[in-house]
Amino acid sequence: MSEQQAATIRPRERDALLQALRTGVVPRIGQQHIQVARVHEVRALVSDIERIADGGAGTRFVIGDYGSGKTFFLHVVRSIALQQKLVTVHADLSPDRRLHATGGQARSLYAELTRNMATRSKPDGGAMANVVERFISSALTEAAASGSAPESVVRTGLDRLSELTGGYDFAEVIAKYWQGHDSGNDQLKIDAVRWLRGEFSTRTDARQALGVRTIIDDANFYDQLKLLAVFVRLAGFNGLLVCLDEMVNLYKMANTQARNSNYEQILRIINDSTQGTAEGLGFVMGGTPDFLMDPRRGLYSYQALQSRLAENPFARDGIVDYSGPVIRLPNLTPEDFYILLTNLRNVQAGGDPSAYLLPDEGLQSYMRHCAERVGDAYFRTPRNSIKGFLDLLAVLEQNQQLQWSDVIARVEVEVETDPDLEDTTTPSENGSDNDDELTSFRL
Amino acid sequence: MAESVGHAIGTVIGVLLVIAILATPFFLVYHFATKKNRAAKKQGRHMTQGHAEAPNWYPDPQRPGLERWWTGNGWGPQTRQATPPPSRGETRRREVAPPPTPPRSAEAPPVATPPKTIATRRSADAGRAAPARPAMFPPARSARPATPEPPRPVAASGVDGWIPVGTSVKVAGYTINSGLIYVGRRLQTAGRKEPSLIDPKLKVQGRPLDLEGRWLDYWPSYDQLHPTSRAAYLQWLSAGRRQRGTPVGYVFLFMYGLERRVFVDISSDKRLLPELPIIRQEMSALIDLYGADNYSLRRYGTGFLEAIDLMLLQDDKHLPEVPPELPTDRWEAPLSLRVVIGGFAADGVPVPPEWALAWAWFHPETRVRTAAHRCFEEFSTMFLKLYAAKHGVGLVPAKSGRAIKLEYRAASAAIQVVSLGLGGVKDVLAKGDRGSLEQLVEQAQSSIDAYSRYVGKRPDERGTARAQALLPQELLEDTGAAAPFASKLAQWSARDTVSANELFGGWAIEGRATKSDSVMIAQYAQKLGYGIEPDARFGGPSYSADMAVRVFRLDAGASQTASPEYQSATTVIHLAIAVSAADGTADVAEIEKVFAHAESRLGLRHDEIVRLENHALWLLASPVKLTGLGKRIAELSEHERETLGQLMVEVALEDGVVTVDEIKSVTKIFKLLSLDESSVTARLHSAMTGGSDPVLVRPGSLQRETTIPGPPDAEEQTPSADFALDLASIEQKLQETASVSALLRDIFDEDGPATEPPSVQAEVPVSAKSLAGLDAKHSRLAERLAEQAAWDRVEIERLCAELDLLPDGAIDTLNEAAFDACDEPLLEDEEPMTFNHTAYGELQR
Repeated sequence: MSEQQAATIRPRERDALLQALRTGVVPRIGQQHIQVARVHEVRALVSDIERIADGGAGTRFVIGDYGSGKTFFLHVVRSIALQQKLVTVHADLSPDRRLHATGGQARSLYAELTRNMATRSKPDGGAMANVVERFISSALTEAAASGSAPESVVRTGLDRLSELTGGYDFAEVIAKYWQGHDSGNDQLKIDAVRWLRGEFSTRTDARQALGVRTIIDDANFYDQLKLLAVFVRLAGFNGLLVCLDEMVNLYKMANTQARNSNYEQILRIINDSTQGTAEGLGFVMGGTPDFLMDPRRGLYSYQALQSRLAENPFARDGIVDYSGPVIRLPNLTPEDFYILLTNLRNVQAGGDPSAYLLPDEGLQSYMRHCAERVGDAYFRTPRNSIKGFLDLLAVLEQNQQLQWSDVIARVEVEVETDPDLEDTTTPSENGSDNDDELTSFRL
Repeated sequence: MAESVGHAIGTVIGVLLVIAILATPFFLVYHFATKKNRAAKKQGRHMTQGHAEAPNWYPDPQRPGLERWWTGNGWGPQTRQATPPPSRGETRRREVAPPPTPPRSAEAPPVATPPKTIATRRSADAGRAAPARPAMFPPARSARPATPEPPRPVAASGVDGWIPVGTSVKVAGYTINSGLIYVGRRLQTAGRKEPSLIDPKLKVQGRPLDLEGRWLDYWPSYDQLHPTSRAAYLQWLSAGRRQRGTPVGYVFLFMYGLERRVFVDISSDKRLLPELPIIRQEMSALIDLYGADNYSLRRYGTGFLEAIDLMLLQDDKHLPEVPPELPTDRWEAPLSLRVVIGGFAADGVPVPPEWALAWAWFHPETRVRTAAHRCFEEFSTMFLKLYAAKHGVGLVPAKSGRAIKLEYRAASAAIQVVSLGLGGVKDVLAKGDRGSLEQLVEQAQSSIDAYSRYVGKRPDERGTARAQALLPQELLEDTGAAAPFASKLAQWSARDTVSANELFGGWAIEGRATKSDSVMIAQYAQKLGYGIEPDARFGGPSYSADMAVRVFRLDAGASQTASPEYQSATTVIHLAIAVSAADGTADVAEIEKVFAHAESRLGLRHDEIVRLENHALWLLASPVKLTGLGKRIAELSEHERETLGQLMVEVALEDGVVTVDEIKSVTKIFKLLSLDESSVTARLHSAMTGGSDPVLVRPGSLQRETTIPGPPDAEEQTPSADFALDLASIEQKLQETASVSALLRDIFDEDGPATEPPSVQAEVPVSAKSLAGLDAKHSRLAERLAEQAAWDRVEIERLCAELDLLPDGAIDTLNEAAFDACDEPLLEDEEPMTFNHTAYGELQR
């Protein structure tokens, strides 16, 4: 990734990146400018993406502790996939968004995924209409060339879908989109996109609006993703990458049966990707070590998954196998963090070294300051120290007369806490206002 | 020897294990005790070291070298560098010294209190909130042990005190009339001299005035100022604090004083509360004036205003009566809104609709799209309706959430961090029930999407029949603007046929309606409860003035587009009419008799049957052109013709009886389809005897998807086995027929295949150079886009319509080509969409 260091940074990327980091969220674009280390991990995923682009499939679990940068890594992978002309969808799991459910939670996950659908030219989501229109446009071109009716070309193009589970209605909805376009019926186009995004909640509504008898619901969640993967390839993209974050929410489910149903869905995904039944479809799932390894509630509690996800017995004591389904993210080191700061400085200056607001020793001095305030946390869970650093840069930028050495001492850095731990306290608990009571509790 | 050592080790391990096992329950009890207990235990440890329970700074038990604030019953989040070990005397003094403003966490929510009204609840809160004054902490950088002094009594004017607004004071020859400053010699804040304190004894040098703030420090303090800067500061104050171009350091210095007044004086003396609005007003004026080009002032200033607002909200009378304005930029919810929603949650009172709208608007999880911004009126009305329909009197917010509190890093180095609470009112805004609110917002938005797109394209057409037609039904009922059209529809439905010309009233259509106008007319009618046949949405032709149409009542919730079933049924009807017309016997009775059960066979809904009947009647009433039929049918593949033939056979068999008439009709249709006429009887027979000779419709795949057997759920098991089978078998045929129908449809669509706008296609290849990786149309689009630096989405849609392109797909195509060429998009996908000329240059290469 270091070659990209010299790449120009577009103002829009710069602003989006800095703004996201300052508010403490993972940026959705421009991650390549600040990515540090993890060359092997990235390389492993790049090869996955290439395989998917060739019509293959793949499943990876990105496992790391709180603050180790899972989410960031997922977004890096996502941006690489977009670069490779894949379509990506991503979502966080939550109590009301799961892989398998009977109360609408799987549909809700599907809706969230497709709402975040991105293409290279629309990287921050909402690309469903783009993909559909790309497909229809190519059908139109073909129709114009062959002189046949556009709708029948659209339908012929979708024949491939009709063979798959649920493919008929999917194809029908795409045809409706075309009809809507053809007859100037915006409502029909909107409804078609809503159906594709899983936003219809009853069959009656779907039948009324689109004439189809099914909707995307909990039961066909995964089949629809497979259809979508085939469809994006028909539309001229290379494949579909599904990024699922916060998988720990499955681990947190109290009901064993419901949890196991979700793990069974994961098993199905893994099986499909290893047996070649899925096409152009990849999954990347981010979770904590608990989610993976907890013998009672983690993926390992499900025997069939444990055997598939078990570590390579030779990969230990520093030897790492990046070809397995599980990729473990180590925490950042101070050296990584230092490089991260140089990258941030570079992004802030728009890639122009003469515009750097503070010299290298300033970076070190900032790190020292952080270490004094919060200890190792500043590089292990760097969210707040990054935020502080960008605040510092902002102050320096707007007050050119200031010396960086004066300002650093004033930067506030707070200890980062894992919200998952906080959630375990009952809401009525009065003492929960003190944020870091639990941060480092030991016997 | 080795063995005995082994034994010994074994024994030791055994004993340790036993100890461990015995100790485990204790550990678990300890570990799983509530947080509070843990805090208490930690507290206990300190108590043994002889500390009093009073809130103060104590050595941090976790991090040597740091001190942490003890709130009195728990550790606070604030830390600071440890001070050198104090002497005994100091320790004692610290124990007795009352804390500056006791940061009591008196925010314990009452457990199981009887429900109160909002008003009483709030006043109770206010009562509790008053003692829970903002906590103040000595500066982290201070090396001295913090012994913040109790708030000093301040005189109305004169020595060592606050100069209220309207009182004038004279310092070093400068008369300051506007007050809001501290003047004196000894005033301290948190153990150090108040930085903003104007000490009249300090030297002031008026010549030269330091108007540029050359000597200003980033954290100025009056006593550290250069005499010339002091003069400039005093001059600024005396002139009323409004001169443009004043260095921001002076403004900050003044602000420090305001902060002290608010966080030290006012927060310890309720009687001073009326000063808050005055200070707020002054501060916000300063931000407006000096904050525009100074980020720091803007940031500290707005933070300060928020803190003041929170203090104001501690008093009931400052709670807003009506929800806040809903701005386009919904970055952060106003504090007052959080407090009010928190109040509803605490009282268990349903949130009234208008407040719910504000709540949903500012909810971080909701996505507010262009539609809601562009058509806010319609959006909000729709939201309120949906909210009322779903939640009745209102939604009661869940009580979970953190107590509303605010941490303000004061600009003044003497104050540093202030945390403010609000008597246990929880911040539920970002929490619970978000699913349902988000859904309502989404529903409201998508219901006005089509309308919004239309008025976006044609802003001057708001309120016209065309725009009106796109409004959701719920909003149409309200306005009453639709009443004239509705009553006309009622009259027309009583007649056999109506001239389409009559439909055009109010639509400004001459002669022939476009396809999209035809769609809109039909949509509008359906929203008012009427169907029109033909209907462009169901594959019918566009209306023209000389056409006769049928108007009929339609159920609420009727289909808005043709389902595959309906398409198949129309194909059957079409073929039937075609064959009967061919031998000159086209009459209603025959059609209805033979194909009446097409409906039940195909599983049509009631409203579709109504539509189909009207469609057939309309077909019979209008002269059907059958000239193109033979040609069209010739285009069908053999397989497609087979499918249609088989469908006719099945329809004929629906009632289990085959009449001679039916056989005749089916035979005619077979002839029309160039299928083997002699096979009709054989096929009928085969179908009657259970279909031992099935026609291969489509090669099926052997792969069977493994589905997950969900937990035994009554709902999932309802579809009975035979229903599922039927569905699977018929689905294929229907789909197949639907696509064939699409081919045949044009015959009955009088527009014929000439609907394509031919004009553009002709000129495209001539005018456009082909760009890298793009076809002629897209190249032409890029060329047109290059004419302008920034584009509205609406304009782009218009351009694409001209070129017969789909906008989203076209933008995606262009951008992808540009990414391939130079890693940059051609059009930034954010309104206004800016055109990237560099990328265009690369594409032209």
